[in-house]
Amino acid sequence: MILLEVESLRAGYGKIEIVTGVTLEVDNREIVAVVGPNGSGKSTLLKAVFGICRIFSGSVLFKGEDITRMPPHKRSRLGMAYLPQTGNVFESLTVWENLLLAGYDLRKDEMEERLESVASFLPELKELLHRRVKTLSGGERQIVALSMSLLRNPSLVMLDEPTAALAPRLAKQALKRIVELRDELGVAVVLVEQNALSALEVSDKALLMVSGTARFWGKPSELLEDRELAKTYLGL
Amino acid sequence: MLDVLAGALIYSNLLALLAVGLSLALLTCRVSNFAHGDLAMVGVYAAYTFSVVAGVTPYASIPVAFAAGGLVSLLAYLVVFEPLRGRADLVTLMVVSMAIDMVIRYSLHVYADLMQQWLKVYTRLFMFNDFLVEVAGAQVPGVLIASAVSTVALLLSLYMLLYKTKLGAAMRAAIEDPNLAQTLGINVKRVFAVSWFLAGALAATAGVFLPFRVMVNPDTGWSMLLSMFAAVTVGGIGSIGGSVAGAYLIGISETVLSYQLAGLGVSTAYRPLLTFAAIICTLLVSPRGLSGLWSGKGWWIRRRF
Repeated sequence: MILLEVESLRAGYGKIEIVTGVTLEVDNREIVAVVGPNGSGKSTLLKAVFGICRIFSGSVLFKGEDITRMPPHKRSRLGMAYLPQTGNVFESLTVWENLLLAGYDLRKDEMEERLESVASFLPELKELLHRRVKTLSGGERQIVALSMSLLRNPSLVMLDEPTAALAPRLAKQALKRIVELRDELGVAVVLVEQNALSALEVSDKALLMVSGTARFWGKPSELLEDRELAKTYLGL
Repeated sequence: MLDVLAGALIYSNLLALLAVGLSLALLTCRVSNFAHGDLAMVGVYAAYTFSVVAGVTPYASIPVAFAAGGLVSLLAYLVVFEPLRGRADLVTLMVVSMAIDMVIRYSLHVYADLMQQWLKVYTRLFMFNDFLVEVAGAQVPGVLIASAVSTVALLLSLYMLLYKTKLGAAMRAAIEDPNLAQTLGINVKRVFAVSWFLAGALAATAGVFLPFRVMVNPDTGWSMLLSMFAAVTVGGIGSIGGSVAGAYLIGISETVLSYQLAGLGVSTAYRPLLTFAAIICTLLVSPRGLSGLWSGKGWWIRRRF
């Protein structure tokens, strides 16, 4: 079943168009990797789908509902989560306070239930609960940020370069966890990633973005087999 | 001297309510709101109108002033500052707030003329009649008690809202990082709208106490801006607790020092000099103001939920 449908989306900031016509579909329980060179509009695409940058034209449908003009907080309540690359946790608060904010409109019993479920998926969370975020390492922060986005039990999680601030070993673990998100929690994932090869290895579909447009859309193996595209744009 | 101290306390109470509202505007939309003083005057005229029409004491009109100031402030936010949030720089926002100041101030002038014709009362340079209360054998002006009780009650309620409710948690989150807050499902526009309503309502409530001490007209709020900005700067820009502390420091020192200087033959016209001196000293000695002394950035958002 199609979860997210993006049709001819054009988006950017102010008067500048960064994403210049992208179409993609995300099904339930699949990982879509969005790869491409720096400045190709990958992060802007995620922001546009979540509604936090200007949309010039095109449409975004989530669970069949047109959400193109819907404010971001409503998208979040519909079951869509977005994890920005930076600024994805409240620095001055403790982990527990961050989680309370992430589920601020949940009832107490719902909150406890959700927290239990998130902690069973991310067991490290329990040890971090009373630490201040500013004392956490990059990997620990990602765990907190991911926990916050999972607290509302989303059906789609959009991750903007989740491995960017991580050491290679931790980056590998993070990607493994993204696969578990799909396999264990049944969540669909849109993954923007600089490390194209790692992302393509774990994904079900791939979108190659170049200068704001989709240069390739299809199976990751086909993108890797296309030597010209892989070499020119991904350096593989 | 006792009367001077009473005056200093009343003035500080007003300043505290005004400075907290000014801080909320700064925290939510990063705007140094030059129209904030006018919201106090909206409160004055709303209370004056209601007290004349209903034939009650202006104290009984505080809820009307609270609502009127809140609504005008909310309108300014929804029509002007929300569309500009995150899109205009600090200077543009400041100039825009000056324009709003003019719109509100001259609307109040028009309203004052209409009110004078309609209700046949003086609507410029007027004062409210106060009564005296006997406390421990001393005669104390009613406005001292009323302003102190209102200020404490409103600031405590604001504290409870910010730190004990979900809406307060959402407000603090939206202030710290609006983008992250909305990705977490918080309706940033709505919680900022609540902040702006409260900022205007607190200012308007402060305004009601003003005509008990001084003669007012629609420009009086504008003339108090310097003291409000001084309170916010001395307290620490962006700190609500600091604004309250700054308001009492500025309010008491301004009143008492200008009284002392008057005793030495120096004109009270130099009063703004004291306020400017307080701002300059703060920026030189502790640019983060009083709140910088007790903790680092975001101390007030870190408090327990």
